[in-house]
Amino acid sequence: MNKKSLVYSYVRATTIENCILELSQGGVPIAGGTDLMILIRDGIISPNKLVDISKIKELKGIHEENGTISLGALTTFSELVESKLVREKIPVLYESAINMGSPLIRNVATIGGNICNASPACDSAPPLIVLGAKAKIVGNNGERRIDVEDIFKGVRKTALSKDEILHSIEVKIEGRLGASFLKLGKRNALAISVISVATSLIVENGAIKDCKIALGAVAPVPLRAKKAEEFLKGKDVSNADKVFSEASKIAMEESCPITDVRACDVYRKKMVEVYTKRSLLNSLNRAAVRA
Amino acid sequence: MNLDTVLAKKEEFEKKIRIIVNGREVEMIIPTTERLLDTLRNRLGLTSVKEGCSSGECGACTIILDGKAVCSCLLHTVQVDGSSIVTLEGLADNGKLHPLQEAFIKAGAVQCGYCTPGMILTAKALLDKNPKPTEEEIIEAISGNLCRCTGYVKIIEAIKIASGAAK
Amino acid sequence: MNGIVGSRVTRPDALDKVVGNTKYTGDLKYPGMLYGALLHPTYASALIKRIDVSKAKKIDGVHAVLTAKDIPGENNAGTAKPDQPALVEKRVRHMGDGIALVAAESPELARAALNAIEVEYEPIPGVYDPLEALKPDAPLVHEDGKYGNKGNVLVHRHYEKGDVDSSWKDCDVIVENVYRTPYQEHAFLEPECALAHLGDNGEMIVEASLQCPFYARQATARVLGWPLSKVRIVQAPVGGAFGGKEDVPSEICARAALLALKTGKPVLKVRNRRESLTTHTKRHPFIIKHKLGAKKDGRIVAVDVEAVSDQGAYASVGPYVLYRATVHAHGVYDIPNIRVDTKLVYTNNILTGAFRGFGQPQVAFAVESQIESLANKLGLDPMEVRRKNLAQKGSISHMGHVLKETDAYALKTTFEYAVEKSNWAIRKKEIEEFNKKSEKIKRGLGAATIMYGVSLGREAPDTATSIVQIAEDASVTVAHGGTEMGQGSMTVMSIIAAEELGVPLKHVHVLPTDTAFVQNSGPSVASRVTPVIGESVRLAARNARLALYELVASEFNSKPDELHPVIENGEGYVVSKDKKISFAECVRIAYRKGGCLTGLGHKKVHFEERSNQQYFAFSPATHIAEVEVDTETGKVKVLKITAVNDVGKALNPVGLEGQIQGGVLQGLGLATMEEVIFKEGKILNPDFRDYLIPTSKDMPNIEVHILECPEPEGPFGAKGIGEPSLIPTPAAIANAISHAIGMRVTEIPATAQRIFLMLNKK
Repeated sequence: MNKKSLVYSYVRATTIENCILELSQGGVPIAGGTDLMILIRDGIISPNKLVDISKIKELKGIHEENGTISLGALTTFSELVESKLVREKIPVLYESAINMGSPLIRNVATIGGNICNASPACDSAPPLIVLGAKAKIVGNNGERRIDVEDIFKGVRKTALSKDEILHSIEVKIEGRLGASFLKLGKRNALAISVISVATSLIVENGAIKDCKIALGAVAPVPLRAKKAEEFLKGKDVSNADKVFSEASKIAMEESCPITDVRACDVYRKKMVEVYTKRSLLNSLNRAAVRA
Repeated sequence: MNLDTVLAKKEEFEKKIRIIVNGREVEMIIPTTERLLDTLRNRLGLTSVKEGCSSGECGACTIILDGKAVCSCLLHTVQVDGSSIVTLEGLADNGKLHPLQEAFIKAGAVQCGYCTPGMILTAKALLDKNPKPTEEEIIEAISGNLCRCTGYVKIIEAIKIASGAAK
Repeated sequence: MNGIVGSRVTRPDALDKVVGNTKYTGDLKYPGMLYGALLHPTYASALIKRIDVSKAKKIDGVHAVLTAKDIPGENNAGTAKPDQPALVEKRVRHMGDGIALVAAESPELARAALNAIEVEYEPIPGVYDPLEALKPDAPLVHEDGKYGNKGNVLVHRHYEKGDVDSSWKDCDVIVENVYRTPYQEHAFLEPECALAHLGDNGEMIVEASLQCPFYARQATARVLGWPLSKVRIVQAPVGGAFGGKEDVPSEICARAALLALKTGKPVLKVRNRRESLTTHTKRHPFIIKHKLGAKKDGRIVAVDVEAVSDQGAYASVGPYVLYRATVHAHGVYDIPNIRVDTKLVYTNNILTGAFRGFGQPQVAFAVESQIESLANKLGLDPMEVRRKNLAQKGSISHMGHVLKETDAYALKTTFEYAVEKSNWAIRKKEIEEFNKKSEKIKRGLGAATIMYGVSLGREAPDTATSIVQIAEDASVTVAHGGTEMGQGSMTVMSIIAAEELGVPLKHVHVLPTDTAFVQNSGPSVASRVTPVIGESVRLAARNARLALYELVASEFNSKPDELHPVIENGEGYVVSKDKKISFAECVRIAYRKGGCLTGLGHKKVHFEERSNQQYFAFSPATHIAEVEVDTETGKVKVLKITAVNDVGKALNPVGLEGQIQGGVLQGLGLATMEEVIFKEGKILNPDFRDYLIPTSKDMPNIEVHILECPEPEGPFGAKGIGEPSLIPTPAAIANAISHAIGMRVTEIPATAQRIFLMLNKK
């Protein structure tokens, strides 16, 4: 690496206010640091100061209140996997969490870090998007809420300004919703997604009332396959196989994957089609179970 | 950040930390950029913690941090101020081997030995939480610890033996 | 026998490893130790116009910055050919070249020194594809003829038996395919490292992670310009090698020693994973054109194999790999007409070198795929076709090797055992039934039969020397030239010595391998550690025992050859017809008499000059794979591998099982997920994130069967297992996938993308 040796200072923020202050002064937040450590090592980012937010109590915990599950930004992937609440009420997130990284990484990596790192292959994004999750963001100007999918602005670019921190993810529980996450990796653990797909369906009177399709690793940001969703709305589920086949083709057309060392664009596109259909079928089964 | 700036603000680039390592309290002044892996190996002489890939992809640097198995190459030491760390050196109790250590020997689960420290610690963290894991749970638990020699078979057997589940 | 051979023992080094006491090279620290680092080029093919190290030298804490000019001896770290400089001076031939060496007080300072070195390059056209390199107008990697090379062809081997060209017309069916295998990375968990320091008596001592201390010593002495006697290589515990530390350590040790010499201080040179991945030798990728013709009853009439492999910029041990691939190219079959043409080609890619299997996994993949392809075309069962063609006693290969009876017997036995144990016929039927009912998920069953030529073959000097010493208290030390890299050589040597001497295992201590103790015993490769080096240990132990018996025979009123060893209740005894004295007491008596209880053992593998025997024995193996393929995605799941390996004699059953399980999984990696991806000499996946080896979740059900068809040359009849444990697996998996999808897999790794694109080729 022909790069100068980087030095940076470090401070632990114990409160959100403290944290926002440090970020306003140019600090870079670090939670688990599993992504950050690599970015620093590879010279992709060069922070002056790391602001350790991992001990801020308000950013921790998984709670349910008034039909909304709140996941603190510091929730680790292991905590997601072990949470009875997540597994029972929003199992699509469990599916993504258990397939992320490895147990060693999951013990440290946080959902907030995963989202704010904004990798195109971010595994927690597709399930959160199809759950219609909202991100609560806090900063100098107070707090705001945006859809999780609107956080992603580009490769490693988010909608958060320098002084802002992701506080928590909120998921309104929709009892009839069936959702599924599928990931294609090149081996069975420690695999970056070649593509990932999450779908969710709400079925009413035998027809699709609402549906969401989120694709990962096939665009600079996690992608909503909106045309495919539009196509599905109102369709009769007795014809599911045919209808999902067509929707998957549309989703495939909406994706724009690249060719890289992991896979070529042609393959990725075809897999969007295959996995979208499979995910939709899974979601339908789960929606039916809940109806 | 250039050298002058660094020298001027030296205190900000070093931190005094207090951690418990293998049951002993240790106080050190650590540069902010130092990895936990390097602190353990170079300052504390705990060379059982291995560097395999420097990117959290192999698990050779696994340690137990506050009861959880994690990669020490991905942590800054300053991040773990106040925490409790266990390395392989801390496993045997006054010379008496931990059941995992005995099982690894007995089952023939050690070949080159480089993955062994990380593997044993990951297994310990598993058994501390889940004393009677299924084979599937064992396989899942060690999926972040790469082994190139054994094919994992005897490692899984060893963990079963240690959990009292196997013969 | 004394019951040690074949028993389930614990490794002598296991305890240290499980408590964390084992010190690998990177764990060592000497007072005043410096850290070495190497500057690599930024081009794969370039001239060096200027190197300016002045800024680097000025950095406080940097003790040395060296270039080729500073080499006192010969600037040559090559193994098969003297074509590989330790530091390049005028021309860069691949990205693994070393341009400058630094030693500094910390790894960070060493890195800073590297960053401060200025190099001016003039890129020149390079060649990155072996087929391109064969073209007459291709840029030459080395001067024509300098190393025996014709253009970029480093080695060309050609053999014919019978008359291939006229045979095709006699064939009822012909199968023709081009097979491709990838560059595979060893991915040993411990990256390469060496620690050099000047000893007290003018020696250069280098402790390192290696498979051949003798190669390292030669390279180090050569580069320093010192006699071998003054260079001492000590093998440190090795965190995995698999061939990747056969000759690679030569350059590392030489460089560390150079720095130690120039600075007068101990120097530790450790590669981090990225440097290791991007610079050390890989498995040879092969392009194999394979044409096989047979009669409709399945009898093979002719085979024509044309293989080309990328050597990279320097020879490494490539010529020896090509030899093995050439010998085994026709598989395990008796074929009347054979043509084998193999070429090893220089390119500007990273070097290819030794990797478990050494050319054989590649050719086995081709020939074993061909045989199943043939069977399919004929509508015959693949096992039936194999059985019909299996080489027998007296079968002659294209190189004139005549198969000896014990090898033919072992081959047949292993093959039939595998057919039976895997329940082949029934499983095949069950799988075909399953496939009829399953549309998208298909299952497949595939096999591969190989026989592995033990040790180095006739073209290399193949000797080993060992020393067994019995101390006054009857404890035993063994010094041998093999290296323990996890495979259990230390265990096996202690078993061999204990069994031969007739003493309990715990009384035998195997010393770390050190060039100061024994003469050049060759590399720990080619599965030769047990059969050749182990045999030298047995001979040494035997000689020590015989010396002891000579000295104590009078105590028994017997002749020395009437005495024999016995182990009873955990103690060793020397026994005659009517008397029994403990081994320990015999040793005391011998010492009182002033006797010599140091046994020297020397094993030389002997080939008849006028014969065409290529290897002195073969280790056969048949592996059978069951897979499941998701035809919608191409994803392959390996469900089961049944591995049947003949080892001659199972000296260390626990170790053998572990070796086979590990070899199978490495083979699975090669078959399904591992490939180094190059672009113009640069590696595009230089980390474990994108170079994938199997995790615990990728492990199939591995069923191991160990057979013992004794080989008279080996210690207690033992052959070796290191490589036959891996070689058949990739071929078996590829065949299983082919069976599942009804198309011939001709390229590995059979990643999901490759299988998908095969299935959807329009």
